[in-house]
Amino acid sequence: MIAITLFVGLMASCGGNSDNDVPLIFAAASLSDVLTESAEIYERETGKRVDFSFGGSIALANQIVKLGAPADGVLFAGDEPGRLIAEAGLRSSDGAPGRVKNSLVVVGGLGTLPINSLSDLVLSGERVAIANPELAPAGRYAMQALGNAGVPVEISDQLIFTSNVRAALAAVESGNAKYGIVYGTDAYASERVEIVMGIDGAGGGYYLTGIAGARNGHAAQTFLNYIVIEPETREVFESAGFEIITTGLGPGSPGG
Amino acid sequence: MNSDISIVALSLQIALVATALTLPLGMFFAWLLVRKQFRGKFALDVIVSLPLALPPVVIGYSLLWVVGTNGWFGQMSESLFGSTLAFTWIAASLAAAIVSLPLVVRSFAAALAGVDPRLEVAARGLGAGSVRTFLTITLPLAYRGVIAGVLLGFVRALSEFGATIVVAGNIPGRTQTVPSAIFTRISAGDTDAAWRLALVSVVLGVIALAVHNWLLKRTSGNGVNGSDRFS
Repeated sequence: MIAITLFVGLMASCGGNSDNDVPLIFAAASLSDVLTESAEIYERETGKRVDFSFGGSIALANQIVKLGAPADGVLFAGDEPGRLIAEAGLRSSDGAPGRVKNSLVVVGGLGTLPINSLSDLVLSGERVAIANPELAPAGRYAMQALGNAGVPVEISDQLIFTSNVRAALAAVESGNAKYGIVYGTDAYASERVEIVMGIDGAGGGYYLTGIAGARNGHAAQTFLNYIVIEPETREVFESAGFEIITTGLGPGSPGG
Repeated sequence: MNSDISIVALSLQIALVATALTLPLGMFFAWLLVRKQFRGKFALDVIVSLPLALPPVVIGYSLLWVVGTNGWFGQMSESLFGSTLAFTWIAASLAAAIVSLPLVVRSFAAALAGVDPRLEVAARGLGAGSVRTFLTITLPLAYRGVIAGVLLGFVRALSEFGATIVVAGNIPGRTQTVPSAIFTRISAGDTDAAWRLALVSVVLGVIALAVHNWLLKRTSGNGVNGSDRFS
């Protein structure tokens, strides 16, 4: 009986689903604002739609690689999710014409005083929100930055892991954490936090590719190419604090 | 606001399909448990009730291993139709149906137990078959409790989150329900938008529960059955 229901459901989903022709891009939560805006420009200029599923990059990459989630393209933060996609042979051969980069900063609630080093966070004894390093590269970068700066291990008692980097920012905005380590772009976009310190050399690139063999893989790649090439969408990214590096068409480097 | 409406619409669609699944299944199981004596009845009761005792995320994960690319059903549907049910709204409906089934079965069982078995025996004695007896005697006498059970299952399906987000993901416009949209908005710090949908959930829940309780009160007052005496 359950099997029959499943089959009826499956046929219904195959038959009447007009979303089948719209490419679905899985993307890092940190990109939700700029990608949504870019998609509006794309639809206005080309008449073509794209859909998104935003979340922690590593979580989304695992959904695609291990669970067969129907992504047509990806725009992930960091090396790990890109490596998962590439190793599964899902990387489109089309190549990417450019890369998107971001930076990492320490934020505090409004009125928080600047700090001089990451070790000051331990001295403060306050809670520090970061994205869960197992689910989002922003969290992994934050842990690396703490390690590189030689921050005492006592920091681990103060860390709060959130499901993605936007949630870490939200924890600071709502006052549930005094500090947070988030992307510079997210910090710029918020009116309820202050950047109390920039972290030199931290943060990283985004990995973008169409998914090989996906139903709308090429359409996804077309959109991804569009956003790194077109001046109007580049402006959206750059005014939000991202950096776009054009590498020209061809086999792009796997994030970095 | 426009997207709020489409999120609510998709949630209602998912919950309605889930309810359409649990209604016949729940009725069948409730009838077995209340009216039949058979080996394995205890086991059936435990299995049907199990989703009530499991973290919904376990149900979602289990379902994903059935309908996803790794499962037998997923592989079969992939070879037949070129796609699986994982990360579709149908998967969200299945998850909601499994999670709400125990509540539906329990409500139906209480409603059926309130019908005097002697009336059914009399109908059978007058020549009606078991299906006809059920449809013309049992169901009409228990209908308020049945509708109450349907409503309870519907609100549970509407509020499903843990199993849904695992098996169907959180894809706006495709599988994003009211609870998963609230989760996204909380994560993004979009508090106003999160509260707006939370308020919608509260209103839907209050309406459904008010009707549910009103129906049960009427049931206990109609004199045919003695159970479910809420006052």
